[in-house]
Amino acid sequence: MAKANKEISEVNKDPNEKNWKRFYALLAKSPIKQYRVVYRSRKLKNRQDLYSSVVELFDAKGRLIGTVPIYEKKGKKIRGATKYLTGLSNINRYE
Amino acid sequence: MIEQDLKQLQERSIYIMREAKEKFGNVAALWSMGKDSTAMLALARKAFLGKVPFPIIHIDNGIDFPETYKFRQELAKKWKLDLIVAESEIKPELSGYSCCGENKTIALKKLMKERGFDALIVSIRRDEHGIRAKERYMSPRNRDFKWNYKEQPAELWNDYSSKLDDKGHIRVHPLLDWNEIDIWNFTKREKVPINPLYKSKNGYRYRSLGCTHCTSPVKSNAKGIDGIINELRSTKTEERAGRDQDKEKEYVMEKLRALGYM
Repeated sequence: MAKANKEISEVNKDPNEKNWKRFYALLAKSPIKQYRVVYRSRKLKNRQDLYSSVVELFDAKGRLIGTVPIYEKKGKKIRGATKYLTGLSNINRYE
Repeated sequence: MIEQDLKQLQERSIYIMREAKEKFGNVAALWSMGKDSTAMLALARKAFLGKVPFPIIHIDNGIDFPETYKFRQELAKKWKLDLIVAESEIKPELSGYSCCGENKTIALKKLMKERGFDALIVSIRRDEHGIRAKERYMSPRNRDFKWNYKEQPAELWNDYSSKLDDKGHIRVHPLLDWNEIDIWNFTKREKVPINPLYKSKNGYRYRSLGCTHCTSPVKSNAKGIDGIINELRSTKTEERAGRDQDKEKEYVMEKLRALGYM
């Protein structure tokens, strides 16, 4: 769990490709099994909306482990980063 | 929802894809890993002796569901697809609907220019949205990707347009006459693999799949395809009710399509 926290922390500090790849390499061996995407705004109107949206990470019993950003910085470009969560199961709910 | 004759639908779709392959030198198909475009790939395998003889394009803005990426990886390997991933940026400072319209269309235009595709197979259906009902089986786009929906080819007696505008391309729509339940009946019959998000989990499932931002699950207990088909036989909710993009003003979808996005 300590290792998962370190990788999560690095990605939160700087969501660049290197940190995301390290996080992804760790995923299979970690207790993180489920995710929920939380967008701060129903419409992404600006960069701040995107930067403040997160993915919540849970273990198999639904306990929150941490959160990571939804985006990746690739040089000057911003791309989504959900491909680095491949293997996890979605638990989004909407009322 | 009316369930149509699958044999007739399938025959027409296969005919359209074979016509496209014959008439146009450089064909590609779009794949979003949804049920429709995956069914289209299964039809292509039927049309072309078990293979998909053209490149498959995924326009990826990076915020698709992780299950979608896993499904892409697995099926591309299993069916030996010539997969091209066209990466698009996310620029939310563009206006609301443009997350798809601008960002994805830019990526598609760039790829089309690089690879020179003159026909693009797209798995839209007329019953999905009013603006899609205006489409033709082979629908021309000009060099700027623009679609003149007011002046379209007649398509009488199964004669489809192959006239290309200078540096334009043709959108090929083999699933135009299919409806949602036909896709599921075909998927069940042919055992086509599906994205697991379509199946209910904890009382919710995704009826229509887009990216994580614009897609919401719907209440459902349909854990498998049989459950989905039974649900569709009695539902009065629109298929794309969980898609935020469609909640924009109706003209927005028309504008997106006229600009060249699907």
